[in-house]
Amino acid sequence: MNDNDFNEMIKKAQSMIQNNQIPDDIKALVNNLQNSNSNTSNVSYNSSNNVTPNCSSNVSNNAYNTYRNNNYKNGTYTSNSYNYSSNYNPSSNHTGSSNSNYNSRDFNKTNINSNIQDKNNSSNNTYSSTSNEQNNSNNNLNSLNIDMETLMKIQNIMSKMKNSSDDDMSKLLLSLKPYLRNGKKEKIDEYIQLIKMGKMTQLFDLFGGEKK
Amino acid sequence: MNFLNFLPIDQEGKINLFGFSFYTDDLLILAILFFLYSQKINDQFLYIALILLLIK
Repeated sequence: MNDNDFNEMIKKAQSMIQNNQIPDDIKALVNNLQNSNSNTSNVSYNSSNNVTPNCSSNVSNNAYNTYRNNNYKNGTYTSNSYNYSSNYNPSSNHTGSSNSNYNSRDFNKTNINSNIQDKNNSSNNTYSSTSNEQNNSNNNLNSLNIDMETLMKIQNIMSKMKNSSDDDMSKLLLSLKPYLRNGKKEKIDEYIQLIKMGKMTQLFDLFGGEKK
Repeated sequence: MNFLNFLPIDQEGKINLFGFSFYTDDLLILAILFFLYSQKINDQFLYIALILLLIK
């Protein structure tokens, strides 16, 4: 579904709001969608029977998070005028990386009309959105808990490891190699690697840690 | 004239000095160690590598 279809849906929702056919909760949701329509939305709808509290902006993300945190504990959602019996499926039916992904099969005009007319009925909801995916990725980044100082130290160590082949010690030992016996020639490379590892341990001491 | 003719080096590359036989590469490593020590080079790992090569 493209943006034009979504605009049509918004217009229909607006007309219903003006005719006072829907309650305040749905009005708030539609207003959120309307406000976020100008922005590029990252939502993919997949609702089968009911208007779902999906979200497509930061505002609606907050609404979604509040909804998820407060109402999905028991698997049911109850408002003043609605009874939602929802099945949340966080890993299903992402419609790709494109923005404004609305599944016309699942979220169409007929569904909107029927859902508003049947507003006192409870039905099953299954929704998924790319905002879920973004939240999950943010949570994953936060869970890594990578410190910038640690990253800089790792970068420093990696750069020193790359430049270690050009240091004076390696040059001296490699220049000495042709003048050694065959048995010692074979050991030169091993000792160079061993000494590089020893120098790396000195670098790792910079991380600190408990000193006994 | 070959310069090596002035040094008592045998076919195996050993040098007889004061009754002791040394390999030429060992002498070279010893000379490098002495030079580094005299120049006050503070590279412990280089010393370790050269000593390991010497005792191999």
